[in-house]
Amino acid sequence: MKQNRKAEMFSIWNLISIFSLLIIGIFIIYPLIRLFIKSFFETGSFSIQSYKDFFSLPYYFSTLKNSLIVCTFATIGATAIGLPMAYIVTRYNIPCKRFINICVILSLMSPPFIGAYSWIVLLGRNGFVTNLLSGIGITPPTIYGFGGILLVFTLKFYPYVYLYVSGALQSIDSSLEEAAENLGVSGLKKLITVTFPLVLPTIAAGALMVFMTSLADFGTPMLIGEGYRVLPVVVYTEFMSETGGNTSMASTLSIIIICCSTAILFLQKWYIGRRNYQMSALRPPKVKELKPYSRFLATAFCFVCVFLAMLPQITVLVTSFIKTNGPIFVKGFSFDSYLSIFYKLGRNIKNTFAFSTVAILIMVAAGMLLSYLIVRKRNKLTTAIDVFIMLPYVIPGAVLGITLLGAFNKPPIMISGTAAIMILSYVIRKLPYTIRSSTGILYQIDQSIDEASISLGVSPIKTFFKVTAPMMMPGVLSGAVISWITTINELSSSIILYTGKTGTISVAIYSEVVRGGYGTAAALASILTLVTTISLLIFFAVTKSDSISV
Amino acid sequence: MSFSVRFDEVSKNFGEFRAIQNASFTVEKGEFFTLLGPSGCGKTTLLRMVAGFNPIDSGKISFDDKIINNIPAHKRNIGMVFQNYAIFPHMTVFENVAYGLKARGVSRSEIDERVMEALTMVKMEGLKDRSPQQLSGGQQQRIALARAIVIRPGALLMDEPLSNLDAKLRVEMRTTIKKLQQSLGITTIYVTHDQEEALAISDRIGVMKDGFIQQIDSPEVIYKHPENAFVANFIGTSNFIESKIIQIGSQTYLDVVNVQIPISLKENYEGEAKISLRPEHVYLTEEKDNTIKGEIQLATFLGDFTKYEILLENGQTIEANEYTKDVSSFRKPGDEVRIKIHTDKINLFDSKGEVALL
Ligand SMILES: Nc1ncnc2c1ncn2[C@@H]1O[C@H](COP(=O)(O)OP(=O)(O)OP(=O)(O)O)[C@@H](O)[C@H]1O
Ligand SMILES: [Mg+2]
Repeated sequence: MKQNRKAEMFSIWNLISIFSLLIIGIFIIYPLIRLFIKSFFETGSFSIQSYKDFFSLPYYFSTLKNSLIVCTFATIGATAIGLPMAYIVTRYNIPCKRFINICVILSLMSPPFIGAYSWIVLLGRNGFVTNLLSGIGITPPTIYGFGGILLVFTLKFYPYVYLYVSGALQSIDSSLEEAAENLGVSGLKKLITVTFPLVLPTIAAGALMVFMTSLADFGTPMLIGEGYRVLPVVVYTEFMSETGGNTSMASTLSIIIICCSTAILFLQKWYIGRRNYQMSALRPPKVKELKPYSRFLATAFCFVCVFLAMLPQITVLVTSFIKTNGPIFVKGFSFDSYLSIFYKLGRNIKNTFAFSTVAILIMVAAGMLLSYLIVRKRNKLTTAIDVFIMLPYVIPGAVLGITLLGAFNKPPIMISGTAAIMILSYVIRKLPYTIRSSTGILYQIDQSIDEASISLGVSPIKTFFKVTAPMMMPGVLSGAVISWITTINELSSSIILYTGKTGTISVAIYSEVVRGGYGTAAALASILTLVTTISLLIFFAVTKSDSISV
Repeated sequence: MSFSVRFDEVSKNFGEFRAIQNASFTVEKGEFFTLLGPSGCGKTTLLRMVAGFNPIDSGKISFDDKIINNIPAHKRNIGMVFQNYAIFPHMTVFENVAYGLKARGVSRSEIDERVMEALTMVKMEGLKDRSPQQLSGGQQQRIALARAIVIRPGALLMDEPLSNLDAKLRVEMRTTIKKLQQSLGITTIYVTHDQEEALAISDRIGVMKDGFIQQIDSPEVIYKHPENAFVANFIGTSNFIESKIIQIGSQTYLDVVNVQIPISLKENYEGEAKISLRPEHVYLTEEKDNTIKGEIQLATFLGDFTKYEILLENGQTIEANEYTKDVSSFRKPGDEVRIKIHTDKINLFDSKGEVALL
């Protein structure tokens, strides 16, 4: 009996669990703890000075306020667009539904800051539209600051609400709403008393996702925020000026930002945990015919929203072919921007795809193994893995960058400035997507399939590779596509971690925009957009679906 | 080839919950043994301990004389058939069946030969290149069976293999399984909660309840001489009639609804007792002496027999079957009937239903 227990303890899966925890400990937990400790040590001795500073100096404290305000409004805005759109597209007979769906997903998956960049190109000081309007004597409101951030966040993140809610709306069995009608409740009242409460948890989940992502977004406020300073931007500037300035402030700000998003995550868990209606529609809800006039309005609403959200990508694509003279666009079209990036920035392009490919391979392997552990070998060890692996969800990219850099810029592990640290941060940040969809599919595969293989004489490890892994593949790959797309577009940790040799496309776009090299930035962004679009289309074709889980 | 499976004081707990308690019995070589019991009684748990998917908390399981507690599942040489078939969806029928042979390093030509042989046994040779999605439930179950026997396992384990099939197919498949088992002479442990299936297919049945094995016997013995009220009730249909055992002088009597019948017990017992009486053993007569009075409540004609619900004088209702060939007329609700108790056709238990008195 004792021997039995021992054998179980040292089973191969336990060894893998322990090994995984070790890796997680070194590369996630240790840097975070280090960051936490560092936030209390300003000049070598323990102090809470930087926390005091944060809450007493308006210079810092206002950034928290600003962040919370702009994210709150962005969340409201995103819900105001995403919710009605989801309802219209799932329930009414408007045309081009598939097209709308794909555009919405594309706008979410675009590089994180081209929104800001494009709106500057359109409505900024020297923007196309600005110049056009001033030609006829109109001065449009400024795009810089609060309004600009809000606009970009809203248009960029409403897809979360849209995708979450349309998923939920489709999973309400039509009998539920029919029952309401049968009981004499219909129209708006049915919507408010039955449909809305059923999707409320999902709306909340989508809205909180908007909030968390915009709280963590660094590129947008950096480019378009100007005087309106938000937390991630200050984290970045504090960190960059750290050599001379306040060494613990960047750490303190990072800790505060992590606390905020953790609090939000728990709020979400708590709220959804209490009202999680498991629904699966046997008969999906009916699609209602609209009268021509209403149908036109509903369609117009969706198209305008989709158009506005896609506008940055269109802008980028068009401007990448416009002739430039230094930072200024001039009349006529040319491929100069493309020629110049291949000339000057070929390394960044190569880096992006090299790093992302290595990262995605690691993610697929780790994702399969870890999700297997999490689902099939549930015990204390694997539960810990489950919790820790999802931790990066609440850590904004810039913060993760700072955390990793602080921990690994001296022996025993000195990888700062190398490709390794970039890849490490990609894996840590984007692995959750792969894990989530892998565990999702694994929950659907009956365990008896594994057992059938084992009882036929194939060892558990071999069974994993011969039976479980092939069956998991579709789920793993669909998560991996999201990981891949978000990795090639990653900016906020790359910007902290890159050096001359390890710059990526998104880093180059960012610095080009800052330098005013709009043409080259547009060409680079177009390459990213193109690869993103192709990846998504392949994904849709392979999975035979037209939606993703984000 | 086939081996016997011996259980020695085998127990299994899930936390505080005692799923299997001190199971001790032996499944003989070549025997078709069925574990029968209500849902949640521990059948699957026990079977999975044999397969190696549930660790054995205490006690020993041996194949022939070899204790296998510490042998990992994939080295136990056991064939297993699962309730949900567990066919590998990414392999063809042929590949599914060949899977275990490949793992054993069997040569290509021998694999071909043995797979086809196994597929022929389950009458699936024509579908060898199909993918599992193109098969019906019954066909998938045949593949699962072929896959389990093709490796020539020392024992075959089946966990409710037929419960996802429709009634007609279930009967057909159980005949297939039984014939296959007999021709291969393979030791088989079969789990079901369907008592009719168990009676039809088994050499011996182990009836389980709450983690305890209640009785192990051949189908006939289990049916005729259940060792306690639970078994009597679970296997077939039984009427339970409240009664008393009384002692008058040196004679023991069974006192049931004001009728006293002399009886001889295995051991001395006095007081409350339970009679268990199968509907087909309720004899309806015209005799007035030493018979129980009752009134027909409901008559259901079912072709070869008629099922009556009879209200006894003590307020209990029992079921009786009267065979069409034995009678010339049918009874109607409201008719008075007399019931004669044949002491050799009843089972008698103590008041708790735990000890058989006859
Ligand atoms: N992994 C487990 N953890 C905790 N309890 C378990 C576990 N597996 C089974 N049990 C419990 O052990 C008892 C026996 O389960 P088992 O699956 O063996 O029942 P069964 O006789 O096969 O029932 P059924 O006919 O419904 O399949 C049940 O009460 C079940 O809840
Ligand atoms: Mg079971």
